[in-house]
Amino acid sequence: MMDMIKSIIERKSGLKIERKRGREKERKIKHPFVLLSFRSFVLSSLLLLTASSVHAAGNKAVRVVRHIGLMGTTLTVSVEAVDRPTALAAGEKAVRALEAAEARLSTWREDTELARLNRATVGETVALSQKLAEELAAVRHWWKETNGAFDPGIGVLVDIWGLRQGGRRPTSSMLAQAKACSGLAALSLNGRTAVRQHPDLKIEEGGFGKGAGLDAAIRILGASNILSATIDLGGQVAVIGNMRSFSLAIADPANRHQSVLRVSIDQGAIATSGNSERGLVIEGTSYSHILDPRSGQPVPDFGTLTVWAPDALTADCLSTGLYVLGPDQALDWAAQHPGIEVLVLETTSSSLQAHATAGWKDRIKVEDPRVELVFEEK
Amino acid sequence: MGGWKKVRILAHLPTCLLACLLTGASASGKVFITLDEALKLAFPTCTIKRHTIYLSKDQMEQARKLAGVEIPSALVYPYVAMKDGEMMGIAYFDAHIVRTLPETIMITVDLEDRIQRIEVLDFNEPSDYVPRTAWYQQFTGQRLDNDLAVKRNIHSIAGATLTARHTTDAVRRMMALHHVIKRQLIHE
Repeated sequence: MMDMIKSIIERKSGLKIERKRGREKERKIKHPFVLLSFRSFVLSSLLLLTASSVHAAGNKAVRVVRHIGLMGTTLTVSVEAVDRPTALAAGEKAVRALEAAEARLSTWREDTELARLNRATVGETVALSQKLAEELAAVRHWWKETNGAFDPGIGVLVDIWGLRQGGRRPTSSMLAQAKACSGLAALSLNGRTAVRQHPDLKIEEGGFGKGAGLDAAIRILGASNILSATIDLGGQVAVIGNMRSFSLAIADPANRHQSVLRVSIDQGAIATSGNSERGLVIEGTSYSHILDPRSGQPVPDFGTLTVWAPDALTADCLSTGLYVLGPDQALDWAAQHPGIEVLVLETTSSSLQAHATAGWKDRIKVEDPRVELVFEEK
Repeated sequence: MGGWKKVRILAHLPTCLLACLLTGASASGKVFITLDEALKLAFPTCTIKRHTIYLSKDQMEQARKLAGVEIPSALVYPYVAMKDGEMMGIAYFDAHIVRTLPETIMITVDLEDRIQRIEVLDFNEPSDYVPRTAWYQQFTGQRLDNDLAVKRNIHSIAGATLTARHTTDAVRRMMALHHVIKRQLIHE
């Protein structure tokens, strides 16, 4: 089936598609906005072919927008299709994929697969669904790639800092005990099974759940008969289809109602981490809600960090992990990882310093004169 | 305008707004999806029956106490989803004013009285007032109890607390009404 689609696209586009497998394919990505994975390329091409046939037929495309409370935030699904019933049906499939991701990954509920894994006895082999196994494998990959700066196995740290209850300062002994858990290192993954190695290991979906849900929804939309779609899950955005680019405001870290930059994407996903919405105030002192898994402490608040990646889970994991690394190390890390684009927005006393990797060129518009935008060398 | 007249007009507001949603009409054109579309998407293989329930004074008072907010009308319109003679879930709609403009929310409730979906059908305030932070999450899968409120179990939204309060009030109101009338619905 894929070969047939491939030959149709080659005939229509005049391009020769070479399929590469596994990680080798990812490493070959030179410019993320131009080249994506083979599957994404096929899906985008199919959407383009559908779009051109709509244009040829002279039909007017219809866009349906929905707003739903999901995963602790507002989900906005915007689907463009040849008619309203098609857009509604595809949008609903995307919503259900996200609801399924929440039912699989939420740790706000006790009945999800991840919550059950978190309760499993130490040493017990737990069978995982295909989806959770894939998601945890991807999460582990980025945990290793960031040397532990991204680590979702910090549920105990989240508890002792009271992040879900408005914040509290843990005692040094509580902190020492939580750090002894060693995070994701205390989880053995072997294909479709997992084993908890420490009683305090508790995996938090906060750093990857939205991305996993967005990817599931985008896959469904890619297989639907639509023209284009954007899914915005509380500021994390994934897009599919090449009808037009999607632009997203980057807020002043000190004032989330003030847009200072506007970035545009036409494929892949972006995620932003920062404290403008969720900082903690404990005994009169402000702290970041993002914890450094290595020290167990809230990270210094420097502004915001935005990541573009070919898929939403990667963008989600890395926006948190690179924020933990801090602006300089985050940009150094991005220089070593082609295919990932990073935009750091730092607040100083008098200005806003924006540092962007080269792939953002022509995709950032400055909306506030206080912003000094610098692009990194390739 | 007399106070009573005002109250009577306001009491009809939810019905008027829902009527707009039924037809897809809106003064500002910001209806995202209609009531019929939302129901069909939430319960795709079910037949939906709209019930009309007149609350007694006691039921109004019980619902008000449970919700912790005013119940503006004694008329309730639950939409019951049925499949093969079995009840699959119930949908409620709440239309209210956020600042000066209306918002309509649908909640669907499962047979164990847990919230399944919260969907905004119509939101006319500027998009800045749409909730964005980790906040809605606390609703899904919850039952009505004293913690279903802003700044208790449900955290407020920085910069959009008005929407948080109105949405939380609407959810509490719908859940309280569900609690009061569910037996009646099962027997119908």
